[in-house]
Amino acid sequence: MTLRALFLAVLAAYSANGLANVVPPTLGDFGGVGLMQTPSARMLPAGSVAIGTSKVEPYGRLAMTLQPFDWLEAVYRYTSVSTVKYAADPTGKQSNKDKSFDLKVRLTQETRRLPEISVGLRDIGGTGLFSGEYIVANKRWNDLDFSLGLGWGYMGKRGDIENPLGWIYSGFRDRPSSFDSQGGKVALTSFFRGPAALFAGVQWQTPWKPLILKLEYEGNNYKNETGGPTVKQDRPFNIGLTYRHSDYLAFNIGWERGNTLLFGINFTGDFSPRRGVPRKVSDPAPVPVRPDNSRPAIANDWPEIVRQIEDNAGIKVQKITRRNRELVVKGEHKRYLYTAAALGRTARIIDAQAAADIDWITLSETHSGVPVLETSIKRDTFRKTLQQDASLGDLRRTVEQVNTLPRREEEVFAKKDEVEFDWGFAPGYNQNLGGPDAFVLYQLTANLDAQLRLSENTWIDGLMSFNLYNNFDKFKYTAPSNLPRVRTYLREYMISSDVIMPRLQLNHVKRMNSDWYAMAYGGFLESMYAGVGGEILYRPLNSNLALGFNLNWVKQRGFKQDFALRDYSVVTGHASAYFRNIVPTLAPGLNLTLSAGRYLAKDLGVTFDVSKEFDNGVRMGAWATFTNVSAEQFGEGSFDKGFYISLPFDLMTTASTRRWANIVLQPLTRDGGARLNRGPTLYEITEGRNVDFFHKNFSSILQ
Amino acid sequence: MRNFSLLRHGLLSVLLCLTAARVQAAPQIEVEIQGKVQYPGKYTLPEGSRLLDLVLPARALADAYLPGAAWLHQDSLLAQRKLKAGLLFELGSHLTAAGLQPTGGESVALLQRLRGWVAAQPVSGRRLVNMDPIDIELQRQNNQFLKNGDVVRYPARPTWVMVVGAVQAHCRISFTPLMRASDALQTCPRHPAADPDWIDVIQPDGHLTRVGIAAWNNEPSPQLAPGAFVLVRVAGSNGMDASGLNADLANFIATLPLPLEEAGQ
Repeated sequence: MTLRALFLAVLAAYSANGLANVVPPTLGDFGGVGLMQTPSARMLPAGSVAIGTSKVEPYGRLAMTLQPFDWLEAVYRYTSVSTVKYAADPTGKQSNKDKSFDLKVRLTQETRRLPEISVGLRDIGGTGLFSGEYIVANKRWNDLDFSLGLGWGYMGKRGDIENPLGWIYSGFRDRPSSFDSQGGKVALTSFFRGPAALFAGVQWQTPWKPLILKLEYEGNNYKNETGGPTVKQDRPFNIGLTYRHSDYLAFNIGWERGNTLLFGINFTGDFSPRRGVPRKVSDPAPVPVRPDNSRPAIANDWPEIVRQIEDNAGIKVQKITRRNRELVVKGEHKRYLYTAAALGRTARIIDAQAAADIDWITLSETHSGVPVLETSIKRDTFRKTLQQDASLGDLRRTVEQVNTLPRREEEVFAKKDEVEFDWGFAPGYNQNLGGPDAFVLYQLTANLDAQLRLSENTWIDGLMSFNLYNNFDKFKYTAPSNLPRVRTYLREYMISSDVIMPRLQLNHVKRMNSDWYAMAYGGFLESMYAGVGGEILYRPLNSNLALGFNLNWVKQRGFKQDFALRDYSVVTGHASAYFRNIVPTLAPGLNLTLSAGRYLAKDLGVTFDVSKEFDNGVRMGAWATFTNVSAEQFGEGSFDKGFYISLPFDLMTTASTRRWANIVLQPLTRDGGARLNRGPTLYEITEGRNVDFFHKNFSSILQ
Repeated sequence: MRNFSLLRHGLLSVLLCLTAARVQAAPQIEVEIQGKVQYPGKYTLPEGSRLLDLVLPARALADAYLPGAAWLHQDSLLAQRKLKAGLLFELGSHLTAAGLQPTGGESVALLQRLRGWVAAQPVSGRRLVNMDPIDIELQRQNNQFLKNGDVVRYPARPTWVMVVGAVQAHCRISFTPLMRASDALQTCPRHPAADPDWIDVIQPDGHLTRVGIAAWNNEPSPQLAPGAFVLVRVAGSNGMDASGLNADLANFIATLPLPLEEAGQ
C-alpha cells in the first residue's frame, strides 16, 4: 500500500470509529453499565456480551450482561453472601447463592438539552433480596459523565424522598415486603412503590486513556442488609477507578460504604456484525474467473465438477440436472454458513466448465434429504460482478429464490444412493451452576457421535459420551419436588455412569407440499426420555410466519442412560407459531416463538421465546414457560425460564464452518413447564428458508 | 450510355461500401484529462474504455495531488443536478422561515449568502473512486468504464483548507501539517445561526465525517488533508429542522472538485 493510501485509510478508520466514546461505558458491581453500586443511563453497543465479577464484602457477584438492542440491557447474576449459609446445604460450608435478573431500557438518547434517560428493574423474579427500581439520567460534559437517578426498593432504602408517584396514586407510597423465599415471581405489585432516594455519580475519563475515575452517592443506607448487621455504611459515597486495559478487559478497584474494598474484573465481547470475521485463510481459494470473458466449449466432466463443488463450495452434491438453459446443482451445505458464499463458489466452478448455452446457475438446497429452496443467479451478471464490471446490486437483481418444484429436467449427474456412515469425536462440557453443593459442578467428556444414513431422508443418529473428569463427588443435593420428577433427577442422570448414550434415534423427514414439512422419529431422544414422535411444519417461503405441531409419547430413561427405561410415561406435544422480525422499525431482528401444549409433568401451558437475531446470525434470546402448576407446587423459581446465546463458530475461525456454539443459561432445573429436549426440529432443518439471512449476507457471494 | 450508368453504379456502390465501413467501426468516446499530467488534453478512445486507458497514456506527474484527483462522470450529473436543485430549494424554504421571524435578520443574511455560494458552484458529476493510478491499475473496482464527455482531473496539492457554512465569512486557512478540524474552526469566526453541536468534515477524496463539537458530544477532532472542507452546520430556525439541509450541503460539497492550479486561486 502506498503511503498516501495508508494515510487515507487511517483517516477513514479514524472517522469510521463512531463507537469511540470519549467517556466509555463501564460496568458496575452488579453487571450492567453503571458506576459501582449505582447504574447509569448509558448502554453498551448492541451485540455486546460482558461477564464480570465483583467482590465487596460480604457480597461476591458474577454477572453476565447482554445487550440485544442499543436500548435494552439484560443482566443475569449470581450473588454469594459470605455471612449467610446456603440453606439447602447440609454441611453448611457453602455461602448463600442468590440468582437474579435485571433489565434496563433506554427511553431517550442524549441531546444538547436533554439527558439520556433509562429506567431499570434490578433483581426481578429472584428472591428479591436486592430488588429495586430506578430511573436515571446521564449528561456528559466533556470528559465528565454525570448521572442522577431516583431509586426505589434496595436502591432507595434511605427513603428520604416521598414517592413522587404517590401524587398519582396513593398505593405507590407503601412498598409491600418483596422477599420471596422461592423467588421467580415478578413482583409487579411492589414496583416503584414505597419511599425513594436520590442517587448520583460522576465518571471522569482521565487524560490517561485507560484510567477512569468514579465517584457516586448511593441511595441505599445498608440498614437491614441481607449480609447481616456487620454491613454498615460509614459514608454514602463510594469512590473507584476502572483500568480499561482494552475494549475487552477492565479492572475495577474502589472504596465503598466508607469502609470496604471493591475489586472487580470485566470481560466484554462484541458479537455484532460491526466486528469483522477472521480472514478465512484455511478455506480453499475460490476458482478464479475465466479472464477471456467467453464461455468455454469443453466437454463436461461431471464427476470432476462434482468433486470440485464438494471440495471448494462445501456442498454435498446429490445430482446435477439441466432445464433448458439452466443448470441445477442439488445438494446440502456442509461448510459455508452463508448460502451466498457456497452459491458463489459453485457458480465459479460451473461458469469455468459448463457448456456455452447455460445462462442460469441454480443451487437447489436440501437439508436432511428434503428440498429447502432454489436460488438462481444469472451467469453473465455473476461473472461481470466478479470482474467489477457490474455492481453487487446488479447481481442481486438477478437472484431468484423459489420453492423447489418438480420440473421437466435432464439429469446429467446423479450420485448413487448408498448407505453412508459418518462419525466424529469432540470434547464435551457439562455443568451445573449455583447449586448448594458447590458453585460449579462440572464434567469434561469425550463425545462420539455417529450418523448412519439409510436413504437421503432417513437416518440413525447416535451420541455416546465418556466421562474424562468431573467434581461430581461433591454432587449430593437432589432438589425437592411436588410434581412427577420429570427433570429433577438431574443429579442421578449426571453421576450414575461414566459411559452414557444420550441419544440414539431413527429419523425420517419428508416434504409434503411446497411449504409443508413432516418428520417422524423414535428411539432414545434425549438423556432423560425415550419414545416416538412426529412433527409437522408449515413454513411458507418469503413469509415471517411459520406454524408447527409436534406430538410425542415418551418414557423416562434409566439413570445410566443405557437401554433401560423407568415407569413414568407421558404424551407431550406443542403447537407452535414462529414469528420473525415482528417489530422491524423499533427492534429489527426480534423473533418471537409461542408454543402451547402439554409438558412433561402433564401440565398444560404456554412457552414464550423472544430472541434478537443479528445480521451475522448471532442470537440472544430468553424464554419463559407458564403452566397450570401453581408457583407453590413448582417450588423454587416459580416458573421455568432461561436465556441463551447462539454464536456461529464461523465468526471466530479461519476456516468456514456451519457449527454453532449454543450457550444456554437456565437458572434452575425444575419439573414444571419442562419440555422434551429432542434433536433436530423441522424449523432448524428448514432454516435455509430464512431468505432475509441470505440477503443480509449476500456480499459473501463474491468471496 | 450504358457504360456511363454502369460507372455511376460502380461509384455509388463504392461510396456505400465506405459508409458501411464507417458504421461498422467501433464507436468512439471523447474524454479529457486535465491538470498535473504529462500529456493533458482530449483523448479519443474506443467505447468500453476504462479509466486506466486514459490515465496511463496521460501519465500523472509526481506532484499531482492524488487524494484530490477527481473523475467527473457523465452518469452522475443528473443525480447531482437534483441534489443541487434540492439544496437550493431547502435553502429557500429556510430563508422564508427565517424571514418570518422578527429576529431572523442574521439568519436571512447567512442563508442568502449560502444560497448564492451554492448557486455559483458547478455540478461536476464527480464520482468518488480511488484515483491513484497504481490503485486503478491494480484494483479493478477502481478501473471503471469511461463515458463520452468524462473529465479526469489531477490537481496540484492545495495549500489551504476551507471552513464554510454558518460562519461570518467562508475562511480559507493555510494548511499546516497535522492540522485538525478544531484548529481550523478556531481561526474562523462562527455565525450566530451556527449549529452548536455538530460539524461535518469533508476530506478532499470526498470522505465525509460527522463530528460532535459541544460539551455533551465532543470527540477527537479529525485531522485534515490539504483541500479539506469543514462545514459548520446551520441551526434550524423557527422550529425548522435543518438536518436535511446540512446533510445535502455536506454531500454537495463532497462533489466539488479541487481547482487545478494553486496559482489561479
